Amino acid sequence: MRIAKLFLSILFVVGLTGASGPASPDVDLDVQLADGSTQKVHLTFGEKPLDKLTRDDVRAMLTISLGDQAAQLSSEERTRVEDEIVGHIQSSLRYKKSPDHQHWHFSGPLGTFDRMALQRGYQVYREVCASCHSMDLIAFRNLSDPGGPGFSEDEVKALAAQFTYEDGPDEFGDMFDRPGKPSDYFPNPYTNENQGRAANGGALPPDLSLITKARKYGPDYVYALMTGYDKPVPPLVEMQVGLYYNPYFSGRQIAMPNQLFPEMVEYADGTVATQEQMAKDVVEFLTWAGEPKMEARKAMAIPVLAYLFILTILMYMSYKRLWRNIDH
Amino acid sequence: MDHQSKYEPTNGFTRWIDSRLPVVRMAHDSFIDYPTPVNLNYWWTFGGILTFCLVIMIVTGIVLAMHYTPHVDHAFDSVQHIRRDVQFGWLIQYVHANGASMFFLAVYIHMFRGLYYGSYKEPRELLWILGVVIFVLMMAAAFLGYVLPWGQMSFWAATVITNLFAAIPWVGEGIRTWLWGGFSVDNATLNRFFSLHYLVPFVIFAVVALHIWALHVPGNNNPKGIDPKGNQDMVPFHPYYTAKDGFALGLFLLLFATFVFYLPDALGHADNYIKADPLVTPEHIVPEWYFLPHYAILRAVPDKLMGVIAMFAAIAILFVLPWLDSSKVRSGRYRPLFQQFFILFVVACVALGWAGGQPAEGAALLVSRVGTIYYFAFFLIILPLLGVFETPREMPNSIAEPVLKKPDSPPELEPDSTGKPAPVPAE
Repeated sequence: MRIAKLFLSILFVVGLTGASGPASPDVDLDVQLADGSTQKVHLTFGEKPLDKLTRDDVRAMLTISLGDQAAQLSSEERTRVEDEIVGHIQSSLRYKKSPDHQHWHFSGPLGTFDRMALQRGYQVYREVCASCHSMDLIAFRNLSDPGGPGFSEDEVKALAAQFTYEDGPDEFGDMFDRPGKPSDYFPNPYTNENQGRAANGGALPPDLSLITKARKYGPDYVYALMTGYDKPVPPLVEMQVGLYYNPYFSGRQIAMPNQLFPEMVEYADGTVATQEQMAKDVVEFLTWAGEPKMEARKAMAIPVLAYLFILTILMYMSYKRLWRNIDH
Repeated sequence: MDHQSKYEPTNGFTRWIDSRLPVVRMAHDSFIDYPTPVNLNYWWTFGGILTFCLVIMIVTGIVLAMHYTPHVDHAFDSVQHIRRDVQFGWLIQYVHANGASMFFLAVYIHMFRGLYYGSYKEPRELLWILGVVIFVLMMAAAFLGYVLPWGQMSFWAATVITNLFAAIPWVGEGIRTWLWGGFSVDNATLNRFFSLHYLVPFVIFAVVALHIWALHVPGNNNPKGIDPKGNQDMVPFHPYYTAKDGFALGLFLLLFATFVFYLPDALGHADNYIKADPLVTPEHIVPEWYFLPHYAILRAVPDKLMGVIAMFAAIAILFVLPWLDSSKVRSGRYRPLFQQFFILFVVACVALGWAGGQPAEGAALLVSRVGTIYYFAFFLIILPLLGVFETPREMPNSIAEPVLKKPDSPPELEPDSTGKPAPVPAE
């Protein structure tokens, strides 16, 4: 008897999205036989995580699960069924991993930004990220705003003056170059989007001004992404040319290679520049950039809530007092 | 409620005004001296809360419009400019954005309350219909407003919703082009959406005035659903209900402020912090939470046109609700079967909301289909039949009087809103 057709859904029972977790999920297959009967096949991959599975594992599991019927499979059919299973494993390996939760200085109702982390983060952005990523919404003047990195105005002037901006026209109608001023916005590494694409193999590096707000799990996600390049490529994943494996990125294949290498920046305050340290610092900076008024927001929260709380209690007491003689 | 006006102008100026335009008298009769049933519970406080929400949205919206730029190249950045550079702009923008969610939270509670206590029944049909008109206008305002920040979800929400109109046979594509003001969602679309978003709240304001007018002719319904019989059943609106509404508003504002100050993005979508890009479709296009039930109904139907019809019908059916419910008993308190179906209806609405946020496949699709069927069955089958087959519980003779005790059927003694035992006769 030949197994004629494999169809219907392949159901991954548990936890596909956290696919590189402790164990691979079981797979239930409905295999329709030539005589029209349906054979249920249950595949168990045991303890081996999905991102460690090889084609040999799939073959072995299929043999075990099919039992007596394994011998009745033609080699073409076997390959086709294997391809089907591998395809589903591959598609489940395109689901991005959820980032681990990190503790941040700015977490929680009383969280504030760590000034020194913001300054170090600016350094990481400037020396590493800025060669490819713009931050169009941030001006140098913001670096000395309250609730921000806390650079002094003189420091900001110096930071801005490192860059040259085209200005004008002057009274003769000519454009001219001048050093940057605190009111200038961060320079964009590209003159236009197409140049950015062309310089990066077609993938435009996103603007980072709002990156921690524009991604689910914001700061945790960016941190996981920047430190997530050490994971080996799962055997069943076929990498596209020019892309890098990173389980936290949507589709798990990203055009940006690993950027943060230990000691690549030299922190002025003597902090050791490990990958984790640089990632933490730059995420702190990017979170501030996404919402420079976060500290003002949290500072206002307590008086507002306290006021409302007391007001509500007074309203309750006056309500109770007014109604005390009313039967209702 | 018709009642003798007790307003007395106290000086020459107010007498002069009163004899020419008795607006102070009207306000006094409507919001001070207005006789209100004595037994309104906390579910009745949402009318005042909603009025407050409308005012908050209009005030913050007017300020935002001073700084916002309705142009595809500048809209996204101008919202960030408000967040970053405008004095307290971050606060005003967060209040406005979260205010929409709070507004819908309150209006849904308000509508469920009306549904449970039969507030749509004779003689309050027009009051209910005006409420549904306000609800439809709110949905329009919320959708138009969501497009304005011109993020990815803004753009794609506008695309998806305007494309619904293209499902109308023959004229659909023409209507869509007319709505767009061009051949895609673009600058012309953003401009008109801004203009309309500024207009709709004032229309809402006018319909709210009619809604309150229509309320004050028959007077408030109440948890017992029986008409007040005399003064022992009534209290003046002020100070009794201004105090109670004020307390409830305080609680509501605490929730509102918690979102604004601690969870300002929790009800939004991360994708809307990415500038609109017509060439990149987000992985999942999801509306704001308050539209998720309608989105689930839309996607529950396999055919696009039928899905659109089902979605609009789910709202339109509310207009004819007063004539679908055959029961003469207003309050759900005295309708044992209705209570069960009503709880199921609330569950169905919440389940539809959940399903609308998931990709339309598997369990979510099943839930949205079952939920949709129940939603329509509730209005079209259950409510018309229930009045015929249901035996209502015994009702009290008046608001102030308790249910007559009978040995074989224990009276329904519901604790009232303050947690006190059943009402006792006045005096």
